Amino acid sequence: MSEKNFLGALRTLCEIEVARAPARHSLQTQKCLTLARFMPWSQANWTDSEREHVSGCRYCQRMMALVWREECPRLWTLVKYKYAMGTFPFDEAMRFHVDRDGCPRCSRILNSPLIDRLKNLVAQGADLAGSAVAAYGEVASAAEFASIKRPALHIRDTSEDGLLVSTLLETAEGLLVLHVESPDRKNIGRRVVAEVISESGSLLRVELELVSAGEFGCRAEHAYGRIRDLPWSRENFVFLVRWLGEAG
Amino acid sequence: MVHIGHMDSRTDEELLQAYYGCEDTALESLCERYYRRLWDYFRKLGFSEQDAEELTQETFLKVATGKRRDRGRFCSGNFQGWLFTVAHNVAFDHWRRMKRLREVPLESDKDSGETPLTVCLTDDWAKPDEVAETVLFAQVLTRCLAKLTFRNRAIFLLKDYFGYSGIEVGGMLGMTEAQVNMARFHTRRKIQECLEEKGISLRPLAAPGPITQIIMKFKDEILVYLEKSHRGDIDE
Repeated sequence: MSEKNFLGALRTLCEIEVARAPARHSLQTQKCLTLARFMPWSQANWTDSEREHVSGCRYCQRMMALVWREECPRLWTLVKYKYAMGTFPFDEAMRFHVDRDGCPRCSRILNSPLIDRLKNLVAQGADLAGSAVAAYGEVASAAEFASIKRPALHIRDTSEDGLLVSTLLETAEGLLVLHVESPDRKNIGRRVVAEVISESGSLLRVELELVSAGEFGCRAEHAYGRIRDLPWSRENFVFLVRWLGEAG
Repeated sequence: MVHIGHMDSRTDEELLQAYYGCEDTALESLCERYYRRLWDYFRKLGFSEQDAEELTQETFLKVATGKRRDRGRFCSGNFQGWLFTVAHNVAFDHWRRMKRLREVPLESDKDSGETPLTVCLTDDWAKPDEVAETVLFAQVLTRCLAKLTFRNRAIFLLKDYFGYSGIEVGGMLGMTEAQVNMARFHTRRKIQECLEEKGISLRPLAAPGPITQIIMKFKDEILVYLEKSHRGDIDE
């Protein structure tokens, strides 16, 4: 067979194979959510019937797991999964993410004592959706290559409703500083509690009151001191900011 | 630009812009248009059917997420190029994940070729009607692709199988056209050796023999002679 004919045969094979390929995912049904509905910004707007469908649909569970390949589930989601709190709708997706995809970050967190401490907070009445919570240390960066020089600490999270944004960062001078913001000016005067919980169990707790930040809503700030002087700075820890009391 | 599906007459670029403008169904149209092609790409790279369908969906999810820097790349006007760039990265990530987790080889790697294949392809094999023959050719090709590195597989598939240009393939894989051509040269040689083992020769036609050389040298004179002969201008 000459080269020219071989290329022709390859293209013909390509046409045939593409035409014979399935037109959609084998598990997908007419009732399944469209791809756009799985985008993180769309999930908050799922209707009740969509939620109900996703919880019992293998295709939609797979799609959730694929979304988590791009961005891992939030810490609260892991707590809810591990302790089967309420009706956790993504059981199969989580198993897929942790077992089949072998996500090192989520596997590490699920086996960390930190998750038990978070569970205890929930048991004490902490609001899951209204809090900003992030992990730091080996737990958070389990999937990354080790760095000879530790990068400056900078973690940030936003509550599921978007009303509470917290950032914990290390300044150039080595100070550990907490910033809490809310885009809604109605929250001026509300109090938040910021907690840092390490794997060994040490707890650092600060209460703050949000003050006006002009047209940008409201904010609060707190400096913990030099990071190298903090006893838990070399440990894995979670950082949690939540509202104190109900909105006015 | 090749369109696989024709449910929506808009161009790829128009559909993507429509999706970014919050028209969710535009994404479904794009998915419908390219699902089969991407699925086949992942299968030919050596992934299982289940992996292929998940990687296809993951590619579209990444397109839907459309990070700003990627959108800039897309705006250069070649949606297919961008789509296959995303697809290739998704495939490579999954391949690494598989290696890290289970060290399970790709489906095509598992095949050591013990099963004898009886493939007889001739020069007339331009439009095979027989499905069985197509399947066999696809099997031979898959076995030969398994002998290549992951990147070279992708180059061969994109360039020779799907028919993208060297510049396009370079853009998809983050290489220069010269690098693509160099890699393709080695790839083609390996594929050629493998296919010859299976009884498919890609060698150019044998060098012309002495009589053929004489005919080629005096082709014009012969043609004139034949012309005259047809007109009856030649005395016997």
